Order: sequence, then C-alpha cells, then structure tokens
Amino acid sequence: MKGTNLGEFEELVLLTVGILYDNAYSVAIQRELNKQTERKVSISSVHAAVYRLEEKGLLNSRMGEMSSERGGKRKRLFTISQAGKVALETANELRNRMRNQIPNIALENLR
Amino acid sequence: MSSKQPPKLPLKIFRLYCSDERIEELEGDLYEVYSEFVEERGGRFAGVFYWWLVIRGFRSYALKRTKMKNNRVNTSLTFLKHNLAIAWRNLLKNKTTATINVLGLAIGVGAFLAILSIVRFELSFNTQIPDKENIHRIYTSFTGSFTQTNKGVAAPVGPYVEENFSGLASVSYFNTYSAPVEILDGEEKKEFDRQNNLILVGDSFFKVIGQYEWLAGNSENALSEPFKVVLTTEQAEKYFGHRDWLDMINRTIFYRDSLKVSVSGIVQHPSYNTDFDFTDFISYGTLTNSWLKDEFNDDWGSTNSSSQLWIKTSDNVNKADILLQLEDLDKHVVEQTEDSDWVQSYKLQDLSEVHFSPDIGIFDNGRDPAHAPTLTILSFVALSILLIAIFNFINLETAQSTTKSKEVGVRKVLGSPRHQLVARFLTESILISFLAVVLAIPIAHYSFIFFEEFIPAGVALNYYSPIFWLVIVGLTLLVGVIAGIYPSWVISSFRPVKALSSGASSNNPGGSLIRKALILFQFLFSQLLIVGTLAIAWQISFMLDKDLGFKEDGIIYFYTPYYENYSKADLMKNYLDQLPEVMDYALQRTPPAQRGYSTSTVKYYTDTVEVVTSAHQKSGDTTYFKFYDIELLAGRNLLPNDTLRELVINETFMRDLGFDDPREAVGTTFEFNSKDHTVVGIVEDFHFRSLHHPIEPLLYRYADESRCFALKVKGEQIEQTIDKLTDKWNEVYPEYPLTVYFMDETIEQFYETERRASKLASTATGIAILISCLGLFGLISFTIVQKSKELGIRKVLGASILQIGTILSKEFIVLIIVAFVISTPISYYIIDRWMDDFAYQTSISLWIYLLGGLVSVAIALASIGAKVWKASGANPIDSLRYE
Repeated sequence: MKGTNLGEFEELVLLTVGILYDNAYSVAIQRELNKQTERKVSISSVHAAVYRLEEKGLLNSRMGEMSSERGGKRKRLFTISQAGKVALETANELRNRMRNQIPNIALENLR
Repeated sequence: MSSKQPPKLPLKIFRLYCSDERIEELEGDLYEVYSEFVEERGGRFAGVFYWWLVIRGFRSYALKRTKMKNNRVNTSLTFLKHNLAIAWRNLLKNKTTATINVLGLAIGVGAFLAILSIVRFELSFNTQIPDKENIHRIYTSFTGSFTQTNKGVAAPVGPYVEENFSGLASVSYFNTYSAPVEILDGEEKKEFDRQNNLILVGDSFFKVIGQYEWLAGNSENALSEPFKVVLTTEQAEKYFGHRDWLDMINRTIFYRDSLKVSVSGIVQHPSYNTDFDFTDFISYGTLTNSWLKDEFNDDWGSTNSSSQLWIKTSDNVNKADILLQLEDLDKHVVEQTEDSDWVQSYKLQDLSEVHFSPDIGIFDNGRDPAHAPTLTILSFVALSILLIAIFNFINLETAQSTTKSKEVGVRKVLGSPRHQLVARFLTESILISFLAVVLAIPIAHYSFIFFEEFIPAGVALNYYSPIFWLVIVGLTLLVGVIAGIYPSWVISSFRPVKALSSGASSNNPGGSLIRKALILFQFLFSQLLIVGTLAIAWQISFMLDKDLGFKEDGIIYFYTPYYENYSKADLMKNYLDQLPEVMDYALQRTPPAQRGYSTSTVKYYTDTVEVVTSAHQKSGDTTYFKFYDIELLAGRNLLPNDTLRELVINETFMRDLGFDDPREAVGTTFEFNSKDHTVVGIVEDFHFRSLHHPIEPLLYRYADESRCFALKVKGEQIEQTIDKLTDKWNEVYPEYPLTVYFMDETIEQFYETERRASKLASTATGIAILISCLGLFGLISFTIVQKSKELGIRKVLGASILQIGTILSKEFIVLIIVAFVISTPISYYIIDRWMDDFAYQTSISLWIYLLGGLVSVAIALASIGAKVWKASGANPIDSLRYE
C-alpha cells in the first residue's frame, strides 16, 4: 500500500469529488477545479490524480450512464471512501492544529 | 452539444496505447473536453487541441500493462526494458538537449516524409492500370507556320487508325467535355454546376483502359447506341442521392439543358491514382447524332486538344511496327491537307510518360502534369534535410559523450561487454528517433494543409496503407541507428580507468574532427540554399521588372469564339466604341506576349545568296503599335487592307536582313507565304515571349476580322468595365462564358515554374536553417558548461565580455568561413547552370554570395548569442567556487 499522505493537488481533487457528490467524474472535476481555484487544470492531470487516489484507496468508483455528449461512452463516477474521509479530516486537523500554534506576534507588523 | 467528431488519427493513436480497462471512460472524457473546446472557440484549432490532449494523455494511468513473467526467454526483453528505462530517465534529466534532439529530428523527418509523399504520389500515377505497357496515346506535332505539339488529334484520325492499323488490340478515340447537368427526380428538377470530367466515348475505351469494375450494365455494349451514359459510382450517388445502382439504369440526365441521355451502366472508379478521372461516359454516337457535332470540327486540318486517341497494342507487337504505320498516316494526312502552310505528324507516347510531360499535358480539364526534374530536386532536398537533422543529432550526442564517461566506466568495471554498451546507447538514440518520427507525422500532416496551394491535390499521408507504417518503422530504426551508431561507438570506447579518473578526456581529437566536418556540412548546405533562394528571387524580380518594350499595365484582353460568325464580334466592337471607360482598344490575332507562338518560313537574298529562315508572325489591326507603345523606327504603319503585301518587321529581323540603319531597310522585299512581300516599316524590338527566349525575327501583317480584343482601361474602372462587358457578352454570346485575361498576369504566368521553385527553395532554406540553429544552440550550451571553469579563470584575470564571446564563437565562425569558401564555387556553378535557361539574366554580383555567408554568420551568432552573452556575463565565483 502506498503512503496515504495527500499532496496539495490531490487534496483539492478529493475535496472537489466531495463537492460534486453524485456527479464526480473527470471532466466535471476539471470544470469545478477551474472554477474554484481559477487555475488552468488539464484533463490529463485530473486523470492522473483520480486514478492515483483510487489506487491509494481514498476514492471509490463505478461506471455511470451512457450519454450522447460523450459520443456514447460511459463515464467513471467517483465517491469519497471511508479512508478518503479520514485522510481529509487528518489533513484538515493537522493544518488547523499547526495554524493555531503560530504565536500571534509572528503575524503582526508584517511587511 | 456540438456534433463535430474529433479527428480520426489521434483517436486511433489513443486507442492504440490506451488499456482496455480505461479506454471507454477516457475516450468519453476526451470527447467531452473536445466538443466543449469546439463550442467555445470554434473548430479552427480543435484538431491541434485534440492532438495535444492525446499526447498529454500518454501517461502511466492510461497505458497498457504487460505482465512480465520471469523466465529465460525474457532476459533480452528485460535488458531492453532496462535500457529503455535508463534512456527515458536520461532524456528527462537533460530536458533541453532532449528537446533539441527530438525537435530537430522531428522537423527533418517531417520534411522528409512530406516530400517523400509528394514524390511517391506523383510517381504512382497510372502504374496500376491493367496492361499499362501496351497502352499509348497518339498526339500531334506541328511544323511549318507554327511549331508546337497538341495532345489531341484531328477527328478523322481516330477512325482511320482503327480501320487501317494492324497489331492493335483496341483503339479508343474520344472527346473530353464539360457541361452543366440536370436530373429529373420525379417532378422535381435537380441542377448541378458545370461538371468538368465528361467524356464522349465508345465502348472500346473500357478495353483500352481496363481499370473499371462494372456494377450495372456491361462493358460490351453500354455505349453502343447514341444518347446513353455510363456513370462512376461517386457521380451517380451525387446525382441520384442513393446507392441502388440497378435502379439508376434508364434514368434520364440532361447535359447543357437539351442533351437528353439515359443511364446504361455504373462503374466503380479504381482506388489507385490514375489520370483517367472521368465521371460521365457519354456514348460517342451522341456526338454525331446531336447538335454537339457543331461544337467539334471534323476535318483533317483542325486539331482540338479535347479530341484524343488512345491505343492498346496486341501483346507481341513491336512498338516500331506502330511507328512505321504512323509514318504512313503522316503521308495520308499530307494528302488530305495540301493547302495548309504547316505539316502535322503523329507521335506515340507511352502511358507511363503521360503524367510527366508538362509541354503536352494530360486532359483538358484533368490534372496538371508533374515536372520530373523538380521531383528529382525535391528528393535531393528531402534527403539533405534529413541528413542535416541526423548530423545535428550526432554532433550533440558526441559532444555530450563526456558526461556519460562515468556511466561507461562503471559499467565496464562491472563487466559489461562493449556490444551491450553500444546496445544501451543505441536504445537511447532509437527512442529519440521514435519520439521524433511520432512527432513528424503531425508535422507532415499539417504541412500539407499549410502548403496546400503548391502541392498537387490529393497528396496525403496514407494512414491505411501498411507500407506507410512500414516506412515509419523503418525510418525510426534507420534514423536511430545512423544517428546513434557513431556516438555510441565513441562513448563505448572510453577506457574505464581514464573514464573514472576525475578529468575524463574532454577533447577526443578524432571525435571533434568529425564533429567539425558535420557542422561544416550543415553550414555548406544552408549557404547553398540561402544563395540559391536569393538568386532565384533576384532573377524573378528582374524578369517581372524588366521593360518588355511594350505597354502591359492596365491592359485586359479577351477572345471572341472562333466558331461564331464575325458579325457578332462586330457587335462587341461597336459596344466598345460606346463604353466611356475604355480609353483605347486594338484588335489582334494574338496579344504581344503569350506562351504559344507561330513561325513561318521566309526567304530572302543577301548578296545573291538565298537565305531561308523562320520568323515569328503576329497580325492584327493598324492600331497595334500605337496601342502597345511600340515605336516605329522608320517607314510607315500598315494600311488596313489585307490584299496589299506589306509587312512591318522588328529590329532583329532587320539586322538579319543585313541592315544597320532602319531607313535603308524600308522597301526590302522577301518571300513569305510563297509570295513576295515588301517591308514598309521597322519597329523597335519587344519581348514577345518569356525572357527564357532571346528576341527573334518578327513580322507583323495586317489581318481582318481579328478575334482577340485588347482594351486599355483606367485602373480603378477595370471591375465595372468587366461587369458591363459581361452583360453585353451574355447578350451576344449567351452560350459561352466570357474569360477576361490581364496582360500583366499573363506575363507573370510565364514564370510560374520559377515561382514554385522559389517557394520551395525558401521553405527548404527555412527548415535547414531552423535545424542548424537548434544544433548550434545545443552545442554552445554544452560547450559553455564544459568551459565554465576556464571562462571563470579568464574573467578573474580580466578578460572582457567581448573576448569571452570571441573565444566561444571563434570555432563556429572559422567553420562558417571555410563553408563559405567551399560553397561559393558550388553555388556559382549551380546558379550558372540554372541561369542558362534564361536568355536574359540578371547579373548576379559577388555580393549575393557574400550576403549568403553573412546571413549564415548572423544566424549562427543569433542562435548562440544569448547563451554566449549570459555565459560571459556570469559571475566567475559561481563557476570557480567548490562549495
């Protein structure tokens, strides 16, 4: 089993899958990411990320319905797995914990 | 959502590499992203975008997985896999060099592929027609009052040959034709624009050209009656909108409104390249039984290029037999055409030559013939560009060999035999060559679209042919091995002790000599191309700018149909008198400059010796010289009477007659058309042919009823004048379209071959320069890294930026100068040979060669300049400090 540490981009993808809930497939994830982060994310990097996350066990997937928009091809829909939920929470907790340890004085009088 | 389908080729590539498990979802994703792109930004760059998607998608998640079993057979496979992995990592490590290598090779291979496809395409014509060795065309060659060839024959020749010749399996004579088409579909009329590939022909055509497969009707008698037509499947589907062939038999088609014929057969056009691209075969009987016969002359003296004669010889017949019978035919024709002042004789042309004879042509509305010398030059250029790219690769690899010396050392110490090392480095070069070839396919593909106008229609990469993929694989291996064998041999020759000790030999003398030789070759070739391009451009602009001796700007001309009564032309003439836009007009047989020409025999006496020579002749009305601003040097203009035997001649003719002063030449007589004629005036020389030809003797005589109208119109009024003319024309000649020619365009067309050559040369130059620049850039980057310590020390000791720059670029400059010295005589020789084609040559001064040299110095400096500047400005501490 590979490490379950989340990269920054992986975390964003994981969050997006959560936001999209029942309609999280690659192109939708790419659109949502573009909207939320205002950066240009390419479809192939989304692919790389979701398949990696699935391999790590943080995402589950199933095949969806056929659609003519896709030239009659089905899409793969992703959902967050239990492990994914834990990983998100751990990451979030870690970040908050560390953020709270920064003394106030370090953030004052910034130039 | 848009229904636009993504391009097929990248999709195929994608399917090739994608694993079955992922293919459905990934393909769907790509499709969706693609159609979104089309919707947002239109289809213009969508193809490129899709390519990009497929290339970006080439990542581990999509790839097919091969399950490796651990057995002995797979040992070599393991080695290969290992070598590939190392090679791949090496590429990723040196991204700049890898990019330069791949890009340089890709451009070279792309250009090579593109040119190869063009040459192959042209060479493939007519090669697959059954019994092609036995098929010949009979065409006409004229001598006498004009000298030229005509791809057609006089109408009676076909039946004569069919009746009197022996040793022929079949004979087919036909007329090519074009006409608008109408179909009755129930009550509804469907109209089609002018169809250009019609042919009026008999059943025997299908015996001579046996390239068709019959789907309905039969080849024996489909065209034996008048008013029948056989269609190709594409054309039938276009007319009737379905593919039920049997249902089309006996349907009615109208050609040019009133020619009513019924369908008697459907044939399948072959899939290979052939010049016989006819779509509608109308039975020959239709011609003789309808008003069509008035459109085609049927006497021995009229030769129309649309009326052609093809024969197929029997299997054991000698070609000489046919030639002998053609001589008999010539004699027969002389008897039939006694009065004419020319002789027509008949020649035999093999089917294999038909596609490569620009001076004869193929069919009136058919393809343009190919120019064989151009194809040869193209092949040489293609090979040279490929070589330049390969040399580049070799240079970069050998230059980098020192960085790999440690690896070689370690491997040798661990017991690796030399052939394994060679295999290891060859794998790397083949991998690079593979990437380059893959990239070259889209480069070639899009270059066809980009250079559409000067590439023959129909050239494309043939993705469905196994040969194409074989060539691709072969090219990958060949380029990989040629480019990689020398560097890997050099690298694997390192002695391990030396390679592992700290200062690995960075200057391998043999290697650097070969490197220099290769760079030299690159510069040599670039300089040849640069100078060649300049010279061609120079000569073209010289020819277009040269004063031809007559007025050419703002002159338009058109011909009235020769088979119509001249009183109609008079109507046009009266109309021109009324048109205020027309400043002046002249009536002539031919314009002062044109591609064709006609000559006559003339006889004269100098000092009692009879001289027989030929002179070009032009004729028209008396305003000709005034209209074209051609100065009368002595004597007077002609009188408007064609029974007077008076002529005006040009200066060259006058000098041939033995006079220096025009005034003395007036009144001379000589024999022309077997009658004595008197010279009444001398005009200054003007160029009545392209500048390929010197000015020759010319005589001008008065002619009534000339059908070529030349008009002088003010520049801004040309369009409205043509509009008005067209209206009048449609009134007078409702059945024929008006074609208006511009005098200056006619002259520009003389130099069409040169203009194509110029485009070709400049493209090739661009590619060669681009690849060389990439190579230089790679080399200099590497040299700078190698010499960083030396440069640091020099700077510390006070060397200036200029001195450092000189040290770095000196080697290249010296090479360029040597290349210049070698290339100048070569290019001088080539340009001199090329210029031989022209009677009037621009003087190519030495500075064109100098310019070629300077340009290549400038290009070299530009491509290494930025790197050198950066290196000489660098802080010496960075390169000298250890920690």
